[in-house]
Amino acid sequence: MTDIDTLPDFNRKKPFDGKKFAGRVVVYTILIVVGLFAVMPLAVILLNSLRFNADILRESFIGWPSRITFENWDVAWGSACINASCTGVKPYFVASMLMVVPATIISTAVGLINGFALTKWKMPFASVVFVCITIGVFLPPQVVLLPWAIALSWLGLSKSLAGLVLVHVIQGTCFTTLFCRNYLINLPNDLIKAARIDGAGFFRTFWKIVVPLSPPIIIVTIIWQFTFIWNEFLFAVTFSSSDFRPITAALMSLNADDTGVSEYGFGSAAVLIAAIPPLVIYFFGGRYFVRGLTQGAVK
Amino acid sequence: MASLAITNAWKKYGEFLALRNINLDIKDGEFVVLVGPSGCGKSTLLSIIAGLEETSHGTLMLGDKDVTDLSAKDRNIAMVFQSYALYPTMTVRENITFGMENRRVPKSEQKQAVADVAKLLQIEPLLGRKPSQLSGGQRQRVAMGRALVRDPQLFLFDEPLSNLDAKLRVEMRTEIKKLHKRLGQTIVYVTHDQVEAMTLSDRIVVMNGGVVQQFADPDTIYKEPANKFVAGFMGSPSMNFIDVDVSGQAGNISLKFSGEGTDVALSLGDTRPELNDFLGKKVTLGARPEHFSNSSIAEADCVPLTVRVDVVEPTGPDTMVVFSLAGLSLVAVMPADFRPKEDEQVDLVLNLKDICFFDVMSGDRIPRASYNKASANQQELCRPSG
Repeated sequence: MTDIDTLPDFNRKKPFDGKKFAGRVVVYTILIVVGLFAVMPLAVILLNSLRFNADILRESFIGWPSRITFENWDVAWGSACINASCTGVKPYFVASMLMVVPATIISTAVGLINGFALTKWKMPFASVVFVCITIGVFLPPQVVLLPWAIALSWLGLSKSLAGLVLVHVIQGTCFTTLFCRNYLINLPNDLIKAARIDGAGFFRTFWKIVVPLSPPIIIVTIIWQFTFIWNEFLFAVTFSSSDFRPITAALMSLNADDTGVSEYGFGSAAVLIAAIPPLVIYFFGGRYFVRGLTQGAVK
Repeated sequence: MASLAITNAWKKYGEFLALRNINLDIKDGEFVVLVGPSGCGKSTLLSIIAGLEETSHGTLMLGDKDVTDLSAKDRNIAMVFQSYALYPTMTVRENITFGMENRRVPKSEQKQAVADVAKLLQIEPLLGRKPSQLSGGQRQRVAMGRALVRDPQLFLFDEPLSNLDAKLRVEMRTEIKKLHKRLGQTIVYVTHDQVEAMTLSDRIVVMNGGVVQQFADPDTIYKEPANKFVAGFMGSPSMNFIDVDVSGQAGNISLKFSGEGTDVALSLGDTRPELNDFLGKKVTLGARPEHFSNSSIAEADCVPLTVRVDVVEPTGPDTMVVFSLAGLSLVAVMPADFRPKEDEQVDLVLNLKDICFFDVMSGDRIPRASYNKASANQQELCRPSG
């Protein structure tokens, strides 16, 4: 009895190992330096968004604010001039939202259905179809630019919201299909068989069995698609017009105002405004993102 | 409830023939067990019956209806999976009602059916839980409940007990048997466990290499196996096989084999006229471990043998003895108190009454010419009395 009632000494000190300690110092130093490099641009832009443009021009681009102002954010949002229309980034922010939300939802839904059909529903030539779809992942966007321009003009969707949504849905489906297929392939086959025996067809099985089991990968694809489409520049600038322009395309024209003076202050603020939505998405879903991408990698 | 007739069923995967010419006639209300080693095609056959796979050739009749080309969802068959395959995001109640929802059964009927099944399987307190909150045995019950609730024409069980621990497995086995007795449903049950096959079934289908080796009741399978494969697969420990020379003359046959300097002769007299055709040839003798005993009483059918003990394995109720005889390693099941030392020479008795003979070339059992049922219990006489 006393053997397990008396606690042994748990505070044993490990002997000091100088070599190991030095190794740790080196590794941590490298990591900290790399980390600082990564955070640096964000820090510079964040600080500049709080400085007066005059201060930035007079002092230096990289520097600590001598005076703090929030005016840049106000101007960037509501009154900065872009291509001679002084509305700030607000309408472009809204335009991006109108494009990103439907494109993300549709491409995620299509990817999930594709993944299910490719893995669990004995589709003929499933592996060939899958290879074709994933080629899209590795194709540089420049390659598809011209074909898309032609296709959109055929469809009468050139330089419109619907056109850009279509482009992003189809381009994004390659990624979402890849993600969802790799996730769903690990779903137990017996579940699908059980549902079939229980009398459920394709869409009923999908809706009642597959979707409820897929939140991790749905979150991953939503984060991925939202961030990618929001930040995307090439399609945004090519397939937009003054009637409809996503924020990434609008930012390019922000600096070119009539006076010819570089407006680093509200330029920084505008860039940060454009970066907020992906950051918010990542902040809330990042946990799932890391988990979802590595899921199934190790049993 | 319905009968099931499988006629000339073949299944081909690429060039691989998973099933070859399967013919089974399963009666209404019968409990049939498909048994065989891994890869023998038993699960493929079950999938074909369920409609999850199509036959490459052949027909399936469920009752009077040809279901060969019907998909799983239109066959009215229920299945219990080895992994249980409970829908993880649904509660137990939703798991059980999912099939009825799909078939648009009215809510009130569903409610009644769930209540009945829950009572039958004693899972009433679990109805609100998720599968992850259940123990293995409870999941097993829910999986059965999901199958039972729909009142299907046929039940399929795919190794339903192999994920349970030994004690629970025996309990559930008894329960499944009770349930079958009570409900009288037609059941096709796949297992690799020959004890499950023997205890549960009305009839057993022994499969190997995609071919039905034998389809018969458990007693016949055990006592009159169709071939060496069935004889060796069914029964634990396995049947002992000895290749012997048939010598003597018709009416006075003796079997001889030798090895490591020992010659053994077993005199059969006129008890096995079926061996007359094999005089001067070899046959394979099949003796089950329980055909050996440690008695010193020598009856007419009992042959004394002196053997060397290799390994002694007490199991509790019995002692398994692995011994050498003429260079062969054989197994005998002995009474619990029989504990020879290893490498000891002991005297055993082999009862020739129930031993089987197989054709050396084909492996088929040589049918008994005159099976005398009156003396079928002779084996008991080889045991020491009292």
